[in-house]
Amino acid sequence: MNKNPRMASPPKLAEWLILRLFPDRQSYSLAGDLAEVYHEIARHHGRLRACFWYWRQVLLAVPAFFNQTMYWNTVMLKNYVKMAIRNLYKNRMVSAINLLGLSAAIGCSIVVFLFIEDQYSQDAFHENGEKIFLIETQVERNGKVQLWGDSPLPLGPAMQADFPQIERVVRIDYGTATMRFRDKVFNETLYFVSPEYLDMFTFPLKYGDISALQQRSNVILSEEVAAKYFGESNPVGQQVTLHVKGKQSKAFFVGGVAKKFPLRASFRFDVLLRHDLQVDLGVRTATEMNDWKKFAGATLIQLRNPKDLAEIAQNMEKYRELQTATDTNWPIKAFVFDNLRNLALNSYKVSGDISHGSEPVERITLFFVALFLLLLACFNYMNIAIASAGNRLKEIGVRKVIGSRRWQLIQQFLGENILLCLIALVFGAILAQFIFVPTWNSLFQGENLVIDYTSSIWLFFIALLLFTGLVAGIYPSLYVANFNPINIFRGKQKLGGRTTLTRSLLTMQFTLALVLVASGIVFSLNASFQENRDWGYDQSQKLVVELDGATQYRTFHDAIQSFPGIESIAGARYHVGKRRALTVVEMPHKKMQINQFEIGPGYFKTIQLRLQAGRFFDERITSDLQDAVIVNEEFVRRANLTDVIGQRVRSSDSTFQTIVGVVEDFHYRDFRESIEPVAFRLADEMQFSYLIAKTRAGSAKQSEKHLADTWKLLFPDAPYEAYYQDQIFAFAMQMNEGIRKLFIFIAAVALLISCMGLFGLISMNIQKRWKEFSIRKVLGANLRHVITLVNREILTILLIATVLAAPLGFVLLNLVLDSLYSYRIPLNSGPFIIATVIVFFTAAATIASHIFKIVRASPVDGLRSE
Amino acid sequence: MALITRSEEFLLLAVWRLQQNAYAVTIHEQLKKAMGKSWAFGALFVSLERLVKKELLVSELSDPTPERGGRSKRMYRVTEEGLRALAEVKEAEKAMWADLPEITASKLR
Repeated sequence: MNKNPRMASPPKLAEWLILRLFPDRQSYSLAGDLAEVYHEIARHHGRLRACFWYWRQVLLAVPAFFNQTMYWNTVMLKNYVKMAIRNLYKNRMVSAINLLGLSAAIGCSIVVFLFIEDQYSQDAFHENGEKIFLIETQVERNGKVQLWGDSPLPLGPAMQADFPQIERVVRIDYGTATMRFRDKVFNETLYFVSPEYLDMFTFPLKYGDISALQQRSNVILSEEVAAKYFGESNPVGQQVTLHVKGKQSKAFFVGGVAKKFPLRASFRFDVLLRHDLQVDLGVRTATEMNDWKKFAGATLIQLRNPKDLAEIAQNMEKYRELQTATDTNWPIKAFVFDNLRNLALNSYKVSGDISHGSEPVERITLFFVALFLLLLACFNYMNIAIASAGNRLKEIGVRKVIGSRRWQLIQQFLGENILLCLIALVFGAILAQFIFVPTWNSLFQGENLVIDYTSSIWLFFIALLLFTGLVAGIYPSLYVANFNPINIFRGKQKLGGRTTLTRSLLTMQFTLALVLVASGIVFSLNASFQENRDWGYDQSQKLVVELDGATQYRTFHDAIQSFPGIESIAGARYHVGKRRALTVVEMPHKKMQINQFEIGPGYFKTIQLRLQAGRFFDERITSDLQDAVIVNEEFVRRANLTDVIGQRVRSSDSTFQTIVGVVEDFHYRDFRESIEPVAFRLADEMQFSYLIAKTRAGSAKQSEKHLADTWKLLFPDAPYEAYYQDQIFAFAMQMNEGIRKLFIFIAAVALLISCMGLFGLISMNIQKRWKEFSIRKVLGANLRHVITLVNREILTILLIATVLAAPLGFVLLNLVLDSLYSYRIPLNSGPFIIATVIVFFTAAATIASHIFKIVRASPVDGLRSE
Repeated sequence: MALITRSEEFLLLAVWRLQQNAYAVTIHEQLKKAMGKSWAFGALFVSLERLVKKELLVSELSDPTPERGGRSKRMYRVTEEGLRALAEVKEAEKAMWADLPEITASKLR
């Protein structure tokens, strides 16, 4: 080495970087050039300057380095893309199978992603979201802890006064009233809220200003409500009157109209007005507002800093003590805080909360369905790619000999698959956009999914691309890259040595397909099962009219009583399917939470509830009004009563009643919910909110018209709202129908994907064994032999799949059905047998065309070479 | 064939001018003199290598010299193809300039 101090060497690290950055043949002389100039500078300007210069050159070399790598990669990429497209084109059938399967699976996954993402981003648009918490209450009932979304009325103001960390408190209460503007009258839901409501939540206004809510004389309407009364014009300043049933009417000014609510608002409003107006409108008394026994529909707090929550949560004990001291029937165990952003996700755990989210079982089930479909499509690709590797042996060999590295081959084959997945992604997105998403929205009422191409959907697309690309492509590309070129050219490369893998993939495919087909059948049967299930009373031909005033029942009853189309009429304060009261009854040994209905005397006969023991209420026995109660079978079961009739129960208002009758269990909610203990008491007809008219067979239309006409004649000022009893549960039935169609569709897609895969695989296998078949045919093989030859393997696979699918499907379906419904079809082997038959049949049909081809072909063509 | 770019033209001209002494350091100096701007060595190298790939230049290694830390120089030479490319741009440029008045400093102002 040169020891001359002026010939010092350039910085080591910088030189090393240069040597790393550039390919061997360049970097060596580049480092030399740099060293030469370095010394030149060092001699004239000193080493420090030279050192700076050298480092600067290293940094400047970075863009050049990228430039160069890109250049070389693009050169190879061009070749790879060309090869990929040629291969896709050459094996058109196989590519189409892969593409179709993948597109369908990807389309379904996009819908599922949208659904799940929608669930997770409910209410995310509220700007103060992470600082807002709903106060929930825990109550222990019938041995179980229940979570409720409502909280004591005075809690909100008390907390606001006690905690400086709280910026705002908003209470929400609900009520109904008829709203009138000139000649337009409708029933509306009122939202009594604290004046800070619009400051806390991000609901921008279309007309008016959010300060309007401060005024006691103002209401704020939703866009939808405003349109009913005012059309498109700006209604700010117009006067409307609100009338709460049985109370005084009051005039209000329209202070504002909200903009169309965001799709992801899990709670909204119709008519917004100040919380304290409840007293003015007669919904609550002034003393009630300070009563710890009374509950507000929801209390929400907004903190200055969300970290303060822990401190507040620790200091809730005094409120709990205050509440439990006043209300012994409904003692709160604990207060729970739930962030606004989680409300929709957790709403399945909370009774009576403000938001309406979906059940987690829906998210989980759909996630697995999408995953299953994607796996089916990926397995197709893997099977076909491995089976068709033989066609590309020469290419692989040549590439290896020319100097392609193992990693490069893996890259090439993986890239080819990713290209295929990319095309499938485009098709899948088109499918989702134009077919799947609109269908989904039409299947389920209230669903409003949209593909927003400006959102996180791109991340999902990339993830989907990587997932399908890697899952489907990694094994085939590793498999191909491991071939030894010498073996390839000697013709010694063993192919199909991996059939165990192919077979297990096919088995898994058919297992998944069987499970999905079986679930299609089960959900379909379940929908019919529930459609025909006995509700415990008769829903047909029952017209329900909503009443709006103390004397309306009597007047209307008398007016329509004589109409020949009407068989019987009854009134009710609480009506099955519409409203019920949750209360607590005490018996000598037990305290229990029950659902209470308050009804008129003819109610049982009119809606045809069935008596199991004892008697119905009797108008002639005057003591019935105070003293009698009729319960359902579940009540008897839970209370552990042996001799029911004549038992005394004490209700929450401290009066005692005697059980005079037992009705058979009936569904007062849809089949998702279980039947709980129920008690009926008589109510005074001044309190009736519903009139139920049972029409005679064949006269429903006439009676409906007669009722409407009579109403308009008698009460021209009151809105007429009537519906049939079965319409109350139409939503649940529609949902079932939606689930049925969805799962039949999924089953069809799954079946299609797996059979396409089978088709591709068999056609490839037959191609390979064409010579064998030809020889066999020459030696006298007939149709039966050919069928056995082709089918033996497939049959074993299908049988194994059936054995696997039956228990798997049984367990999974039981889980899903149980978490969705309380009353559903009992599972038996039926659906699985049908699913197996369907799958076997489609598989057989898939294979049949191939067998036909073999039988028809002349063995000469198969045996002649060149 | 498409015309070569201006930077490629300058590189080729520099190599041609330097004759037997064309390697990165001298080319760098030449370019600096002509264009007034200093190229990054890395970029220079990549551009030269691309010209080699296009067969407008050929390169060979010289004997190692002590002042370069014992590393050999990569000497460049213009090929027939390179000269033809140079002639083509010159021809094209001449055709475009033909019959146009000279641009003098006064006209620019």
